[in-house]
Amino acid sequence: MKKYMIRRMLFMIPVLIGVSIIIFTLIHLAPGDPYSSMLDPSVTEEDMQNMLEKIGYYDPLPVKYMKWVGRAVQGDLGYSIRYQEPVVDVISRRMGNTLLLSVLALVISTSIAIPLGVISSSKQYSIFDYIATIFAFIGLSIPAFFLALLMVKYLAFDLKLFPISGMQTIGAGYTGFKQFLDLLHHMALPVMVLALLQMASFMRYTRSSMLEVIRQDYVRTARAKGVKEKVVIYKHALKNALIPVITLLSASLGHLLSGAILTETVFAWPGMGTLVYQSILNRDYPLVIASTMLLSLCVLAGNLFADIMYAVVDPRIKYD
Amino acid sequence: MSDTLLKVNDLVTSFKTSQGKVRVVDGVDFTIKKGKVLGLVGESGCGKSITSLSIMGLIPQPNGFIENGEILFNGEDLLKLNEDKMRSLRGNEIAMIFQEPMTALNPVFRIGQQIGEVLEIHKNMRGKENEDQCIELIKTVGIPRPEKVINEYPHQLSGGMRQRVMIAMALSCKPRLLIADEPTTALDVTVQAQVLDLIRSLKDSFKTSVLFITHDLGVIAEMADDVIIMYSGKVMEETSVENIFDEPLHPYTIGLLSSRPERIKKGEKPVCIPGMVPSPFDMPKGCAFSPRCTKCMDICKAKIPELVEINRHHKVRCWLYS
Amino acid sequence: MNVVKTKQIPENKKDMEEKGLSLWKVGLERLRRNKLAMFGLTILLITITIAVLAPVITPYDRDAIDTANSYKAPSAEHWLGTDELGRDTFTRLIYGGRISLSVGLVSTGISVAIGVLLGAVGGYHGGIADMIIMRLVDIFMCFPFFLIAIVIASILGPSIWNVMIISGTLSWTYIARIVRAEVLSIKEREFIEAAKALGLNSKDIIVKHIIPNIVAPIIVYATLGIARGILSEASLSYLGLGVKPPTPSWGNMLSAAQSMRSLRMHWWLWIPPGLMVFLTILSINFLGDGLRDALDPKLKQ
Repeated sequence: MKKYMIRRMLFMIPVLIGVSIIIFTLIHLAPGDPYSSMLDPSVTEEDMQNMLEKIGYYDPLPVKYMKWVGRAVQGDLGYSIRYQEPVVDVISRRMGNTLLLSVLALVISTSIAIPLGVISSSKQYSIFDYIATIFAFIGLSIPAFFLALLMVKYLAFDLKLFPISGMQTIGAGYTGFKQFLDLLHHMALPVMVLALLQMASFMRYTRSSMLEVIRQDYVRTARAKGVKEKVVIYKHALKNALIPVITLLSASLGHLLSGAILTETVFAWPGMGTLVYQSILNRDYPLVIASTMLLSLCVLAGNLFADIMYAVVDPRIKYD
Repeated sequence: MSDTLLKVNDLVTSFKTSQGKVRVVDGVDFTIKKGKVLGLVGESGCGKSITSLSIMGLIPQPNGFIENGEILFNGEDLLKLNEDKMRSLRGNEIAMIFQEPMTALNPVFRIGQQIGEVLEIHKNMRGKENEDQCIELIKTVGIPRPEKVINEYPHQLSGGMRQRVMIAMALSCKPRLLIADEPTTALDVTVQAQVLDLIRSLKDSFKTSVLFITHDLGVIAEMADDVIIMYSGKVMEETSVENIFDEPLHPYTIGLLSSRPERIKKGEKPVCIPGMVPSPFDMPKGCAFSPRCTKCMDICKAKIPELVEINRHHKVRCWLYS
Repeated sequence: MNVVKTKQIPENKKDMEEKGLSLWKVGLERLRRNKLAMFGLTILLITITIAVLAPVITPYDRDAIDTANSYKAPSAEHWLGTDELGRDTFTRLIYGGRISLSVGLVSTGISVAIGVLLGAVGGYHGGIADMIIMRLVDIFMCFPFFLIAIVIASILGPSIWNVMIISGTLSWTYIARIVRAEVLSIKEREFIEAAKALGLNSKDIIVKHIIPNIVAPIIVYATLGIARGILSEASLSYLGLGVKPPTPSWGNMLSAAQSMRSLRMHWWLWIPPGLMVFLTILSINFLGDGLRDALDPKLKQ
């Protein structure tokens, strides 16, 4: 198994290289440049061109790419043109905020979706199952940003239950526990949106996995042994049904991190999503490339993690 | 009759389907005496598996249901028991082993846990006592290095070994009745013989009655004391194992006997019963076997014959004899 | 005693033939019985009909500006009110439906075309071609879809064609995998059988055998892909990177919600298109799920 893992990790490298080349090329093909809006109008055309020449703005694309790779492997991901800070600093600030939302959404959605899926499967075709299925479909079909907009309008503006946007109440100067509560208050809506959408697909997945497992011979064997029905479902069946679900879960953190762009934008949540979006609009090349690479890495790492978890959880893989 | 362990009276088990209700077991009677082996023979789809599942109370839900009948186990009607009482019998007094050993064991639990579970539920054994008993059982079914096997997972064992584990699980509480549903069909021929020997010796030492289900008459010759032949949900012939081979009465039985590969003499063509088992949705009007029977008479196509006792301990359902 | 019969029994042969042909009939039956799928299909047909019949249904011109009547709430004359330029929202909604639905269809067409081609080539030729294609699949699959879409859209500029192309070229991987797997398994089988058969045209066999096996997953995938396409259009146009105004689409009508004022007070501008996107995707999901159940040969009754 260890060999398999190492091979998988090695395979990630050419994929990452491919991603970096494509992103690099694409972003540099975009019209416009990051500097024009930032420059002091008193700077002459000639001076600006000299400056740009010095930082390598006019280098051909492959040269730019190699220069970037050279610095990247040393840990230097460049300077954000917009923020005038090392890219690493900007990203690590924002990443934390996105992680906050993603992890909480994952925990909430899992703890509700899995039990619901199990109950739904054991009561197949009942009213409960029907309603749960419809809710799941709604969750799968509603666009995340539309749900976010609806929540902002009705829960934030109209009913004033939650703040409209952002991470903190500006100017309130909360500290300590009050600050923590304020944070939770601001997190509530975006987490709800993310969690609701996740819950839908997890529930469906758990349900269909359970339905598949309950049909298996070994469940019949368990009943033939005189095992109580509840134990048959929650011990014999569930442990098997959870294997693909855990695999899905492991992959989803990676996907969550990279997919929350629109939701974060609607809530003006200062996370990776808004960062990436803004930096693309600003043509802030170093930031765009670094953050895109990072998010792609998250997806890849998530998939790898899923494979590892699968091997850990399924004895048929572990003991081979 | 105090030596009767199981008496099934007029069992009718049906399924609800999108095309209506269908009777898979259609009025089946038989008796199993204490310490004896009853062989249940029939082709796929004749209802033999559902008969055994009906005894265990494990008919596939939600579409299956028992329409009629009595299943008397030691005089008590199993169909009238509540689920808790029935559960206390399963694995304990009545045990079952299934056809596919490759899929019958739970892949995520160790062998020791799976066998030990039965002991824990019915005999309240835990801890070291449980573990020791598991090792004993694994030894009894002839698996080498039981201390190691206890901690292994099913996928690490071969098909034959898994079936032995199933037997160990089934006999762990010394049941009075063992239902074996085609236990050797999915195994290699050499392994088959070993497993059959195992079942035979265990049944002798534990004095267990066995309901042995199979489509293979050769196995019946080895294992059974009495035999019933099933076709399309009904019992066609019922007698001792000697009579079935020496004096088969029902044309279907005769057909089964002639079509065994061992019976083909050199140069002869293989014999088979032409046609197919009728679909339960499209049963012939009279005797279910009439479309395929060489001795079919007019009355066979019109009326279903009754199961009638012809000689001592020999019943047959055929218009040729009644 | 001889039990062999010389007479053939015709009924049984006929039964077997009927059972063989009716995979599609069985599938269609199962689909018809699925209430949710039928509900989805109905809603979809209604939506498509309304979109197609737009000029017949609404008296207003799509782009007719009437600044005197801007931001009017729904009323008898304007069922869904008017927008910032006084255009009738309901009219723009159903014309917008045309745009959004066609984006869904075309982008799916593109991704199916690319997917089938690459999957077939990779599976059939194997070797280096297959390896390259598989690496491409890996790369494309780990792209955060929306991110790349934004990057590309900001390069190409907003336009309906760009949305179709972006959506189509980023989602071909699923079908490519399925097609490739099917081609590989057929290839294996055919080599064995072709050895016995008498030099039949292997390409012919493969085409005759592959197509029936991949049609079912393609249908399911394509149906769900249309939903993905509609969602991409809505998301990109919401950000201003998709369909360019004044052409209405559900997505760019939603972008009205970017303004705080419209979000709060002019619900008729953005909630109806959002609801339409939601309803359409929901119906497609019901239908696609039903199709998947109906056409899955592994399902036991």
